[in-house]
Amino acid sequence: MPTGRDRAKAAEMAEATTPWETARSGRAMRLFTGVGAFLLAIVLALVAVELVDREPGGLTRAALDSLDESGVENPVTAVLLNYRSVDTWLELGVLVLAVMAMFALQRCTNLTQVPQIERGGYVLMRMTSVFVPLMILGAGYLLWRGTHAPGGAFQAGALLGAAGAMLRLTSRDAFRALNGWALRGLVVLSFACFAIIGLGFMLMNRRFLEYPSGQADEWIFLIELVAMLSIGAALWALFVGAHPTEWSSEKQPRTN
Amino acid sequence: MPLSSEIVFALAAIVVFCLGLYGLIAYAHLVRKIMAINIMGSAVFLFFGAIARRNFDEGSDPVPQAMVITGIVVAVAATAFALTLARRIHAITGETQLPEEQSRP
Amino acid sequence: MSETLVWSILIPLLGAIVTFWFNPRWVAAIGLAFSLATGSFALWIAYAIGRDGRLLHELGGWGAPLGIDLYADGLSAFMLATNGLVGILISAAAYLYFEPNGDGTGHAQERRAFWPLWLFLWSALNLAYVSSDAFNLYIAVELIGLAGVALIVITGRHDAMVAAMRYLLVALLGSLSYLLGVAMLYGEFHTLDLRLMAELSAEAESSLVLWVSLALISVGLMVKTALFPLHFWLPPAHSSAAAPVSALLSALVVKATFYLLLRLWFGVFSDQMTVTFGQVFGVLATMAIIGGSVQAILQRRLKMMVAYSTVAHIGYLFLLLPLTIPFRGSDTAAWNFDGFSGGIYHLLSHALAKSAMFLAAGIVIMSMGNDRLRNLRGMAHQLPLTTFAFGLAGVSLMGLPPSGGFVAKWFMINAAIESGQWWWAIVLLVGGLLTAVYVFLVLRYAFLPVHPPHFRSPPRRLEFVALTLALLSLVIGFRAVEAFDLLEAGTPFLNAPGGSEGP
Repeated sequence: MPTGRDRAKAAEMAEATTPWETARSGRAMRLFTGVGAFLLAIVLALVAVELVDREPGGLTRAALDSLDESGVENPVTAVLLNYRSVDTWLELGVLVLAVMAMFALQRCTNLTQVPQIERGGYVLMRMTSVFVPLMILGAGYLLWRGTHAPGGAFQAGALLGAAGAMLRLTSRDAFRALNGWALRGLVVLSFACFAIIGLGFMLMNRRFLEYPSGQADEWIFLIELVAMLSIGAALWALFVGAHPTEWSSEKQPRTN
Repeated sequence: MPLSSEIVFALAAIVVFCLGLYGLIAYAHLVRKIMAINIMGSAVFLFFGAIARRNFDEGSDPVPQAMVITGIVVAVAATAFALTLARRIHAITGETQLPEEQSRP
Repeated sequence: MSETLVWSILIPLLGAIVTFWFNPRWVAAIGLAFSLATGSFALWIAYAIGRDGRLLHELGGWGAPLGIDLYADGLSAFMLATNGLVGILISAAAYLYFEPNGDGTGHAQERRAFWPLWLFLWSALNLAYVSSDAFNLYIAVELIGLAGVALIVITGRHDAMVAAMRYLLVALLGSLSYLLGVAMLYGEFHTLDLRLMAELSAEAESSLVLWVSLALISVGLMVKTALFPLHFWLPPAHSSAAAPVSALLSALVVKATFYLLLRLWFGVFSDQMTVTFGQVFGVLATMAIIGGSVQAILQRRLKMMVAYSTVAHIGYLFLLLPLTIPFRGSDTAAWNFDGFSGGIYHLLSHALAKSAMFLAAGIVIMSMGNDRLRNLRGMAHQLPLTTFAFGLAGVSLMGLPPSGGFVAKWFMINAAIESGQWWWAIVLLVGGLLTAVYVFLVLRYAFLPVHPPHFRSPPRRLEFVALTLALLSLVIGFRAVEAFDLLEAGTPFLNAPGGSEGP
């Protein structure tokens, strides 16, 4: 816990490094911001009206025309996992990066040091024991449903992550037992698999992430399955890792 | 011009975006700022939705919809890290604001 | 051949995954090996593009507009090469800077956090240089922002955390503004591919939609590039990070969003690039140069001074706008305007000089305890190599011959006079003088014959890395012709509809 001296020091340091120190008067600043935001809204609204009125176009036609080759039945899923699969791959990368950043911030490489929190009350405990199995089941359903309706790995992964969060709130932190290597492995798994699959196609004289014709559906299901696990693990790690841990003396930052 | 649902969505997106911008600048509490960023993000996603719906008789454009899903995951990751950082700052200094905004709510 | 573009992203990513997942005690060695591979591969791609022209890779085999294209021409190659060259040297510096102490302890946390984040950042930077898809670039920009923020906090100091928080909020705001602009562009052109958009916008009439999306995208990316008056987050963020991180943030990260601005301005918004638009950015650039330099002179800490110097030098980059726009004719085949080449060349010379300066500042903190200017007395005697490196980097920033900064300024002043805009030439000269003032302020303290009270010898090899960067920023002045040839390779910004894609 911060002591008074730490805070005084912090304030002093902040004063020394803040580039602009003028204390802006709150009310005038708010008024100014409000007027600015209002004017911006008017300009943007004009653009919105003009844009919505444009003749229809877009990529609907193109997306539907290639749907047969894409290996999935839903156009949104086809965009996510085939036409623009690189975006989805990089989005898994953003999650990996967020976990990396969280570890960098907490100066650790696993979550075994995160403090236990108080057990939740009776209602929460009972609810967890009912809901967590249901959530895992629901994740499986969403994953399966994703091939022919919007949905899939991300929704399923979010559900798994939420189940992890519930377990954390009731202090039944199953994942806490994982060592750093296993946890980090789970988090990077789908990102790495996706890249390796794409790379494999590229080495077979195709483009990066260009599925061999007729096999797209199998590869997409494999990617979705792994992505669900990684997304769940990453969200869970971010939830648990947000708890500020005490730094042991060897972890204390250098001062200069 | 008939009042189509797309235009309602697009205008709502603009209003929400600007409200988020106001919140981001006007409030000093870090959690409020992070929430404001998320509100702005949702507004942009809604705008994508309005763009996607324009040619509804052909079916909604799937590309903006897919971008929204991708954008949501990016926003979740960034928000998670921002909240972790805010909590760490609070644990070290006891402050929930940036130093230059100490006097504001 | 076009697969090389994918490899330029995958090699550092693979390094990031390996260093993050396994994270052994000797993580720094793996990280350094991957950095060497990434950097030399990028230099090789730049060479290949200079020889054979542009590269195009349709990810997923779909091709724009349904899929995402990777596309690289001379300008992308120049950026990849800049990143490769500076990245290798900063990686070497980081390897030495985060080295354990004699007894094998110390810096363990920094080492384990730095390498995965830095390799991830490098991959995102390369992606930003070769992607041709506006939404894909949004993800790249978010990755760059997140990795940059995380690299700042690895020191664990609370002033770094506060600065990082401010940077994160600003970065998220900037990318949302960019994304709203992209949404509008998609609504207008029904494609996200920058090259297709450029073709369509050349035929389209100038409309409110285009102007507003131009404003949203420009402001969003300017915030991240820290152009005056949106620079407030930069000095605390860059100065509170560990020295190698400061170096790579100032040298590489702010340049990535600047590159994206160029791509969008002269590609998609090429019709909106009026002379007035150029003059507006010229004024902002002038305020950045004057304001940033004056602030740098007023600083009492070395790293803050160097960070404010970055604010000033970002101004020089934006000065290429008023110096390029008057020369653009509709029938110009090659993109070899003096103002443009000079501005881009300044980007390279600043990247080298500024990373040398930040590393020198880091060495000063390591060996003399802190970076208060008063404390630098006796530096020239105790740290002759570092002082020399700082001075040489200063020469390049001032723009004295024969440095890279001189070549850049020479071309920019030429363009200013040719286009009859002598006032920008004066700004460039005044900026050089102000740079001289703060560099000499440091050197004045450094040469005072006082013995510093607490002195620890820094690693000699680290001093040599800083010196190498400074020397490079000086000698690139002799190889400007090759760099300018590379910039023209594959004729950037020339969108001949249905034209050939090179051999």
